Amino acid sequence: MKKLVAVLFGLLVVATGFAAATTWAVTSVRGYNSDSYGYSWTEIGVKYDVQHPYTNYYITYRRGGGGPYGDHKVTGLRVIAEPNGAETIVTIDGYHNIVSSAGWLYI
Amino acid sequence: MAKHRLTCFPLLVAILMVSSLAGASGLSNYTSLTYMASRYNPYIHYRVSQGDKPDWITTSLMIYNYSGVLYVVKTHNDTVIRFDLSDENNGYILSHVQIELNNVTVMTVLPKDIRPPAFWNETEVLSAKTEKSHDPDFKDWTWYVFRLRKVTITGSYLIREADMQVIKDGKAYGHTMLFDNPLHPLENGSTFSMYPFRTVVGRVTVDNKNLKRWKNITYYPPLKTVVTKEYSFNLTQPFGRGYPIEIVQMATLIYTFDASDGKLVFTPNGGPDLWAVGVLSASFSDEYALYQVEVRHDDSYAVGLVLKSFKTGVKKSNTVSFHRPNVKTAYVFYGALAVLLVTAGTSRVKKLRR
Repeated sequence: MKKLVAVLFGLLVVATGFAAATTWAVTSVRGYNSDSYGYSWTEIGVKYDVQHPYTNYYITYRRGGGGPYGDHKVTGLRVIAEPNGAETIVTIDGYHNIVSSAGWLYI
Repeated sequence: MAKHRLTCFPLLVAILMVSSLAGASGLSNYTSLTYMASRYNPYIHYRVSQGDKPDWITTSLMIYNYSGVLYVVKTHNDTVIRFDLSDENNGYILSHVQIELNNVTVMTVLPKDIRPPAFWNETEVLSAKTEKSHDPDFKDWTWYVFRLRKVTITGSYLIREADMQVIKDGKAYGHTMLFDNPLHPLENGSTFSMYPFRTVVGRVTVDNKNLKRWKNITYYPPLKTVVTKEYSFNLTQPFGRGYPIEIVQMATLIYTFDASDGKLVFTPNGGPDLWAVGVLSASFSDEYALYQVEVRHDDSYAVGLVLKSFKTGVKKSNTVSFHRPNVKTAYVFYGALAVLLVTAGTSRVKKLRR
């Protein structure tokens, strides 16, 4: 019984050590695109392990937006999730799409 | 140039009239509408030269619900949608939909205990990969990404003739997007759809002057455009906490009809007819037309999903032929028939003598 407690305690110490060694950082990645009709932007929030940023990370939010230029009008705005980011499609005047995307580099 | 137009009757009236005649004669009426959003390489080169990624350029982008799983479906080559309508003679029109997609990327994200059900032919798979989810609320979920040569989506639903409602499994989705009945036209303020998205017509315009083109086809005025008011919705994978696949902050439905007969000529979006077969969100881009509009600045082109061909007619119902059995009982039947005729004739002669 004592041995089991010792092993578990050891594992706890090691796990705590690993957890303490992980330094998390938070950032956002933004993509932008525009043309004569209007503009589109996409933003994702990323929390990543400073030591292993491309393997140990989380996407904390996805959002997007856009707008028209001049007399053009926005008729659609949608954000689609992707494995490592998002894509925003802004539709202008019913037929013209302005796409932007944001993603996290990964291995 | 081919002129796509019915010259005599409004389309719906034609369907109803032919169907009533057809019903009596053992014939059935059919109408076939084929729409297309085509790939056009000069347009792709143009967009890439403007800084766009090739992956962003699609002829269609859809969210498809198959067996309760939501898929993002991006099509890079042609998108072709065919509606085959046949009259049911009971107040409903049966619509079979076939959606053909070429060079397709299909994505979905699922909990670890659920495998993605395939709606494609396995022989069409070019590549398949999985990736673990990096969402803190969906840590044990997996992303699936398939690249496919070709995908065909099929389905069917009914159109109620009385009010042109799309009906599937007893549920009314909304007004069909395929026709604007000239006898009961869509008007400003009228309800367009109810399920799963409620929309109201916000604007109706009729263009009596300008024609629209698409490749070798010309659509002549009057052309009627119906635009719904804005609506919004979220599509989430229906498992666990519900992974948000698509967030639609704002959408409008836009349809342009041939005002002389009411058939849909072009649209950049889906609608009740596609919602009923599982395509819950869709946008269409005909790249040939976009090239003419955006690069050559010729706005006479029909954009989006464009009517490529329209057929209507009457076809014979399937008949099953039976061979007359060569048995002796046939002689008994003909003998009995002869006796009956003789008896009837004799009694008629007797009556006349009296």
